[in-house]
Amino acid sequence: MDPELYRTCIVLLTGSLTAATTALVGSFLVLRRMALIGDAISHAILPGIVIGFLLSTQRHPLILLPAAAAAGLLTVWLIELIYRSRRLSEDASTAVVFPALFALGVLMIARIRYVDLDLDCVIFGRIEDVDRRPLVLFGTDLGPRAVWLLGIMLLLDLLLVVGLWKELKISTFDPAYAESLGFKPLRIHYLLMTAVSLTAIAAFEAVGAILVVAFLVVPAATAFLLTNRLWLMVALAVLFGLASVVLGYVLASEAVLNSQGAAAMAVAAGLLFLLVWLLAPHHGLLAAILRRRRLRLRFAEDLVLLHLEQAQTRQEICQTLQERLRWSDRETERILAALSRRGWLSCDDYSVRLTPEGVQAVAELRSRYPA
Amino acid sequence: MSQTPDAAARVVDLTLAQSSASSDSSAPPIEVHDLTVAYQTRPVLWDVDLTLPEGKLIAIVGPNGAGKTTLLKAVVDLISPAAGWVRIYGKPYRQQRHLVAYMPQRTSVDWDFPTSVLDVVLMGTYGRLGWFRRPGRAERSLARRCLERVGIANLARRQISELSGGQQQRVFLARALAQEARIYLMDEPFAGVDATTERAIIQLLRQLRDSGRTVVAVHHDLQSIPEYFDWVVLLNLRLIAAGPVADVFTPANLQRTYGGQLKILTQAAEALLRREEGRP
Repeated sequence: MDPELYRTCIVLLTGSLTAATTALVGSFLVLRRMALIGDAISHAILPGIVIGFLLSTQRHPLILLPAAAAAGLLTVWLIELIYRSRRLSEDASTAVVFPALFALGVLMIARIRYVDLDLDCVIFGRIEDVDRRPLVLFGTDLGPRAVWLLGIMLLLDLLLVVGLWKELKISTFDPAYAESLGFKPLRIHYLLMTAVSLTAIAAFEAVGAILVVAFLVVPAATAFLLTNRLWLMVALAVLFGLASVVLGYVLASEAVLNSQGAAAMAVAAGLLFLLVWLLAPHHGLLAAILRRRRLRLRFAEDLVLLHLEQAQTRQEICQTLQERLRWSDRETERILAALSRRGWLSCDDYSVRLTPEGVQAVAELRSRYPA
Repeated sequence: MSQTPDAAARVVDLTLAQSSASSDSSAPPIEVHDLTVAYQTRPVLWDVDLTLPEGKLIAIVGPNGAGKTTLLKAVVDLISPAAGWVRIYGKPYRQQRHLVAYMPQRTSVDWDFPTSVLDVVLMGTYGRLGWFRRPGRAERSLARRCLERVGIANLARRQISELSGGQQQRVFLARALAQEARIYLMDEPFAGVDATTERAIIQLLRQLRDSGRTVVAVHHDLQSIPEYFDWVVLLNLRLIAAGPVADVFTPANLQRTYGGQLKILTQAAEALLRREEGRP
């Protein structure tokens, strides 16, 4: 295989695995309003990674993973501990805990000489280079380590989300009720936090500690704007994640931006969100504006219809509405035009008359707003 | 339900064998003993002793912050008490979950959650299914029947964020019905619903009572207590009084429950007056 093509495939595969596995757990973070906890975990696993590194002197997954999971859970537990002491809000507690832990990790990397971690790579990821870090077992090269790690993580996350689907759903929607039925929302919470920590460490090698949160949260938030069913939201989150990876890869290529892959993918995820936020059929900005405009127009039409019975000429109706509602003539003319387009009015330059359909509409209105 | 309290009672319970209470089927549905609950250092319930009878419609009444919700939560083990205990048919709640349906306040959940009405009602069957098992056709048809009973079968596929307050309350009620329990604990089932819904809900609660179920509801409207309920529990941090409405729902007890809150007392006086005149 052509080495350049092979590299492209590996980068896209790594990105896709990252996007899919983060979207699975990220959807539940978004629904639980815990997006920032995801951010906190993905930062605070850094000291865990360094300690795991010290213990194994290389990036052995069997040591790195438990170390990072422990760091992630410690973060969540510390945040809750501070928050429960009832003086600081949850966001302040979060912001106290994770930068401290993250910075501790940065210091450790800088000061401990034989930790062979590249700070840039840890923070921003280097998805372009994943093919240079192979998994070697018993002297055999099994291909890029990140792909293996992410593949296994994807299976674990799938197992969690599919196996505990109804438990995750009920404890996210109504934790008190879940508890009363004998499901343990607290256990599910910590299980999910463990999954987020493990997913973050599997992903950080490819996309870095800072951008993991973009993959955890943005595709899930995008999907949330588009659907009213949980399974569809999770599926769409995965799809948006994959789309961001492909789009980001193109953006980062030499022909366009010639930049870092992970950053371009995070930007792509943001662009997709922006697009959906503007254009989503129900929850989008444009839809909301149109809905409001339609309502306002409808209300104005109703008002004019109700006033038409007392006015026969254009001038009269304009005058009435000016006196009562301070409408300009132009506004009144606009609504009159809209009403004639509906076929409820027949207008000429001078007179304004209700058509039979218009009379019917007025009768209906009168029954809806009884005087 | 497949498991009756008798069947459940056959399991030997050491803590109960040591106490004087019997664990046979004659045990009361809910027994609260010396219950004290505190958040931080502030007590919310103080030394509550309460035994509720079977097959009655029971209101829990008291001013804001009186501990009504806390009492329900303590019964279903959502809060661990500082002292005291609760028994359901003579046993701890965790052995009797299948006999109890708990309905939290409607406002306690996020109605923007991406799911359908039927799906929320299906959650009522999760307890019986236990871990990992998914609801199947039997559960789905049960959930549909429950939606019919609360009169919103036509909304089964509706997204829950599109519901009115009354419809949300009916969904929660249907979910509790799907548990097919013997005890129903409801936190403000009438909060923020229109008159039609209120009538529908009370009718349903009466049906449950008439089929031998015990229904306990936190209630705010003192005026409707004599009309709706058989029993009343007056609560204000401590238990003020509990018993049949005719014995316990008296001006003196209400005065002790609400202190000087004049408006509520006036409402209550009207309700009492109507009761004495012999009409609901």
